[in-house]
Amino acid sequence: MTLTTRKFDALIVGAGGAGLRAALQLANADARVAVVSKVFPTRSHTVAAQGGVNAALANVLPDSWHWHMFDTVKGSDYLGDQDAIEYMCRAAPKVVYELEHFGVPFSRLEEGNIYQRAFGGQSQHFGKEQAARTCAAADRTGHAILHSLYQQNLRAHTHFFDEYFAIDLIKDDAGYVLGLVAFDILSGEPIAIEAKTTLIATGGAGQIFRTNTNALSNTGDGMAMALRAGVPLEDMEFVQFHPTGIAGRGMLITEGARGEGGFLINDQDERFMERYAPNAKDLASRDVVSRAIAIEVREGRGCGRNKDHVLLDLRHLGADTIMKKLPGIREVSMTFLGVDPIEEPIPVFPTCHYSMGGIPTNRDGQVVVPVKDTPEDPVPGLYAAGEAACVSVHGANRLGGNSLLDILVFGRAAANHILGFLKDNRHHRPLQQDSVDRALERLARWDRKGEGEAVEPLRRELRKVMEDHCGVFRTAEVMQEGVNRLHRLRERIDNAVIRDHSRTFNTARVEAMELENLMDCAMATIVSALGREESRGAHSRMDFTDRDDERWLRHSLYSLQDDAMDYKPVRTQPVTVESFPPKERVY
Amino acid sequence: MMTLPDTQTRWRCRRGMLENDLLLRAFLEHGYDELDQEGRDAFERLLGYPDNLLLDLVLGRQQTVDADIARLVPLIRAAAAARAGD
Repeated sequence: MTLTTRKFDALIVGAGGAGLRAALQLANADARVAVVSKVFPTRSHTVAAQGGVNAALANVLPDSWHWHMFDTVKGSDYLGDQDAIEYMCRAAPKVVYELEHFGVPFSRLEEGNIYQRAFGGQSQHFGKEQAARTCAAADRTGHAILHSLYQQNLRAHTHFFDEYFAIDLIKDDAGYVLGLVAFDILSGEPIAIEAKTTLIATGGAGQIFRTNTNALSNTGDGMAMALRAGVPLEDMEFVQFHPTGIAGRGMLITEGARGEGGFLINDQDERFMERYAPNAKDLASRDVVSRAIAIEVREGRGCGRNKDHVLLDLRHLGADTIMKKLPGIREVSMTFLGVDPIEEPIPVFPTCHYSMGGIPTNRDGQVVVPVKDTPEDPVPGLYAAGEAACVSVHGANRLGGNSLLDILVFGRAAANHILGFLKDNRHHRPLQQDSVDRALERLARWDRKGEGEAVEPLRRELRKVMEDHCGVFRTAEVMQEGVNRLHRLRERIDNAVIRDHSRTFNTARVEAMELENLMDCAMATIVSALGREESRGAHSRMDFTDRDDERWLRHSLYSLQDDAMDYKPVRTQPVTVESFPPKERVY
Repeated sequence: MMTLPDTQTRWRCRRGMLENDLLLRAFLEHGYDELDQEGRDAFERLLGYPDNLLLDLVLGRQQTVDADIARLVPLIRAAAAARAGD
């Protein structure tokens, strides 16, 4: 059978904000650009971003990109690369105005300027008064951005491969990435898409945890493809958790519920936060509350049939307060749990929200890997942007409003670099058949028949192992046990089978390949977390409770081969301004 | 309007928001099979809605003039409630 092939200048994998922003920049410059997406583009997870985009426009309060940079470096717990952070904060106003021109309906001030909200972690004068830096389109900023960018791409004639699943990158012996092999979910037919440049923008991998806020599609497909192509993943141990997700479902119950007076209780009806944070109690910082919940569950004081969550009690607030001040929380609780918080407490557990780590890139979006003595050698033809990438602007912890900014700034920056690359590389390099064959073998592997475990129970087990062994309660012992379990699970996944071998719309095959991707991302996360013997930002170790700049002011790099760890220095030198040296992070 | 095969419908229930993923998946398991042709056509139309609008409709924050879709809303909510005890 002859394999269908198509050729483009640039291929974008993933149709969220980063991918579509890059595609638009390329299409507007007359590059032949294609976007591969496993779901219809406007069903990408960017649509769920409610908060907004940070940019120092100074429309509401005085502001400067330099203060924004300071806040981002501090928020990152000094692990962010300061050259990339300077670049992002300087570029922020421009990308916001561009969005406005693309049709994003930002909320306005009376005089017509873009309204800006105050978010946590934003300051004026390098850590002093509160700043107001977040531009939003009501509470649907991600939705507005995604739809505007999609419409603009249609106008610019970007080619879309909708409902195509990317299998693996095609790479030649000289190390160039030449595109990828995908398959059409509708027909089941594979296709080789050759491209002079390939940008991975497939989003995060939140689905590696049982309780998470991410859409089901966030299975780390691009991260896992990079791993299989020999690219390590950077800083995967840094995962942002929110303390109160709906247990077993994942959706957030905002801090507002505790702000109004709600409190957490264990199976003995004890307000346990009084033990962990006698002053702040239930309003202690997110990491403290998350860890306290995890400890209560680990020590057997969890609630429910499986004793795997605690309860958020709002009953004492009374029906009036709940209906007036927390109607959204009541609605979500009633819809997804059948629990009316006026009458019953809400089951909650820490929920995974965002991956700070990902595919290592420089600030031009080029994927960079260590080669001999060079920690950051570009992989020719390969780029990454957005949550799939680690540029690294979020370091150990991301500030609210910086994730939409990240996808826009670095989607655009990658596209600009791609345009330069295309000028210097005018012709497609010859396709390397053995690389294509390996991808096709990966697809054909799921045609195997006979005995074997099913995919869904293995996926459930993987997510539970990650929640129990690499969530907010991290010690060497707990994580080592998790690594051992994942090794056994990896072998079982290798022998798993699917029952449906039809070609047309075989979603079982897609879910099986997603499971393989989840497995690789999970292993990257737990091995990196086990390696980092300190607490920094979102990575909190019970056995190494302090930040250790002497040993650990460096980025982790996990490679699939032998599950090996390597490290590289943090870029502490910004582009034009002085470096912000590490300080204790106090708010 | 042609009704899509079940697997295709199932894939199009993959959304950008976890809330919609869970609501629609619950409905595929509890309720979709009982729909008549009109109901299935309406469900396909609902899947064509943007994620935020879809969630607003199901949670009752917005109404639709499409009577067939409006009839689906309580069924989807009931399916989510049926899964609530899982």
